[in-house]
Amino acid sequence: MTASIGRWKDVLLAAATGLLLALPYNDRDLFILSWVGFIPLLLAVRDKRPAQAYRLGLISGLALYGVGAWWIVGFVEQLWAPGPFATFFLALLFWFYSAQLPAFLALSFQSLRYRTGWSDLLLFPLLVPLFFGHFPMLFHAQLGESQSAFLAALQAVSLTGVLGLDALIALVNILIFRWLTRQTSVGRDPVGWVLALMPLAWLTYGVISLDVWNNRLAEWPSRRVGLVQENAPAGVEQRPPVAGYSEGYPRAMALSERLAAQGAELIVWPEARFNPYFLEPRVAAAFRRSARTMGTALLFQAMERENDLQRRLEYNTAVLIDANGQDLGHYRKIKRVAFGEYLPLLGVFPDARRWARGQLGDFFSHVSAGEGAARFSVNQMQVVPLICYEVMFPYFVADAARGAGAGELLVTLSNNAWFGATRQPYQHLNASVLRAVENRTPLLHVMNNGPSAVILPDGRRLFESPYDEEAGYWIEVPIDAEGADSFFTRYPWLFRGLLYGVLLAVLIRVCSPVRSRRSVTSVPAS
Amino acid sequence: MRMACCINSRFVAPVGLIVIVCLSALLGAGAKLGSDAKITPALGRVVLPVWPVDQPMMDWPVLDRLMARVPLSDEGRMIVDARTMVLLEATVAGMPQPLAPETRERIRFLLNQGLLKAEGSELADLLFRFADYRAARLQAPHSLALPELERLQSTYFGEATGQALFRQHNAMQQAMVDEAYRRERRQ
Repeated sequence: MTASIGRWKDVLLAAATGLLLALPYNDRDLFILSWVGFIPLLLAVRDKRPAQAYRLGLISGLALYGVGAWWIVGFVEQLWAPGPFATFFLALLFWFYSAQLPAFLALSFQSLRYRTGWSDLLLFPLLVPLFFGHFPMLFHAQLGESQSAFLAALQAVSLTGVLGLDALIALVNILIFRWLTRQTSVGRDPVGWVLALMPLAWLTYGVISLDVWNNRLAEWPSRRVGLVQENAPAGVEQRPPVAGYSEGYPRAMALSERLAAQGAELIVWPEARFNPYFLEPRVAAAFRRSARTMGTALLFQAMERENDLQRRLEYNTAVLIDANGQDLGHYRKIKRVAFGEYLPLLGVFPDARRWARGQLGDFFSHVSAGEGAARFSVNQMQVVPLICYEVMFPYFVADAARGAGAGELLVTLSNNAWFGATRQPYQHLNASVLRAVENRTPLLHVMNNGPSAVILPDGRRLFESPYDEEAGYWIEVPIDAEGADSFFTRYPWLFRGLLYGVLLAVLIRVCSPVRSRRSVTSVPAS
Repeated sequence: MRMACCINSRFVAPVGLIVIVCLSALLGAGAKLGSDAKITPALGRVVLPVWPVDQPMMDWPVLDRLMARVPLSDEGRMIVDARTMVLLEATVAGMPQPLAPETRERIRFLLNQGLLKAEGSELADLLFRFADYRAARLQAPHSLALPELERLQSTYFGEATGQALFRQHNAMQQAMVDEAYRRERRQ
């Protein structure tokens, strides 16, 4: 009876962790929950064997992704409309796979505790960022991305990247857990005290940095930039232009004309799969003429095709046309969406692609990866384009942003229409906030259905548009006249390398012939 | 003894509680100091009206098909020949009759935007004349004989353009009439 109650208590504690970690992803103002979110799971697994820890971690993961990634239900429904049972089954499959992250995190944590005998204070802040940063997820989300409204906590990611914030959140969780459960007497815990100074130092740096950046941004010259939010519906079929418009003169162009009349120097359109810029030379010519007539640079996305003797390659490409109507260059998307733009592992087999197209319909279209980042110079701005979910990858964005010239501006073009009116578009925006701070560069987040946003290098949202609105917006964006990379942009591997180094030491310890193993119920060392 | 102390879940002594409260207060203070402060940048918003729905139904994509297929020379000049006539026929079939003045203006605007200005204007003129010509042809009380049809073509397009558009079509018509006449004679 007591054992049964204990089991249920553990299950509830594990589920509570999932819920506490999920809520800040859905509502950014609840960010504080992440700092205590792991404690229930830590309480549940502390005297458990690794296999039991895995099961409890799985429960946490199901709660975390069931609440935080509820949008997968709408996504599946919009994509195939397979009916409620199949939709729920597919969503469950997705959540179950995603839940392996906390499950393996809990398993690894317990295993390493027993096998190394090393302190939880070392192991937990090591494993959390490594798992959140490296576990092969379908839709990548770092723990720190739930902190986009906690500006003081964000600032130091310009030194360490989001992994540093993940580690800090894990450290605070384990410290509170440790003192809450009296694993070590608080008065006799010098290591704990020293480590408690880290969040203090981190937040102090954040508060000072915010003030510095506030003053710095006030001195930067500003440029007027326009964003177009097309608010087109989701769909895979080629849609004709709406009444009163044509392919060469879409509504986005009409909105752009109005933005240009307001003095916008660069106008950005969101990702839209059906822009026929590369397919119809007359459309390309019309766009160039329009840009020349408006006297404004245009940045947009279109699907590009390249034929060679054996095959036809398709790229998801961003194009910049300058104010003289010149095509300044293209950026081909590098990070592709699994099962939407490529098949993981199976992609090299043409038969597998055919099978996937049969199963996934036109949603799956094999897109080739581009070969390198791009940087467009326009009106004294250095535009670094990113497409779709590329902004979710911190190291990829740092590589693209490195070598900042004067006037650097990160721009991400995306289309979240498939996710409908869910929290997913807001989670996408949260990731963009982190990338802006990591690289200390203003970032334009331009979405088909919104919210579109302009994010400052200190993480503040200069502007955020409403969801589900067709409109054009112009904003005065402060742009750095000199240009300098952040510490993270220059050395993105540094903090990650440190984590790898510690992990290596842990693994050597595990493999070491002389082990001081800890029993299942033993005290974690300090 | 130490192990026993560790695994039980007794709650903390006052000192521990104070430390936890302090850590939480630190987080709270940091959150407060660094909250997502509202800033008021210079910004503006523009919107577009939807195309009037009370206009007669028009198959707007026919304009894209027209622009995509209209024969152009290497210099981008429009070529007027039988292909143009077939395209105009297909385009006009997707347009309401009569065209409202706003729709007519919008079509001219979209053709000007989609093609070089001179070609856009020329194509718009040709399209509207073709629409009027087709309406006149359909309103005729009886099927027009070829000479009558040629007169109608000449009225709407002028001699040269009419010839360029319909020469092939008219020749075919003439050949069919001749063939029918010959067949009749043989019988």
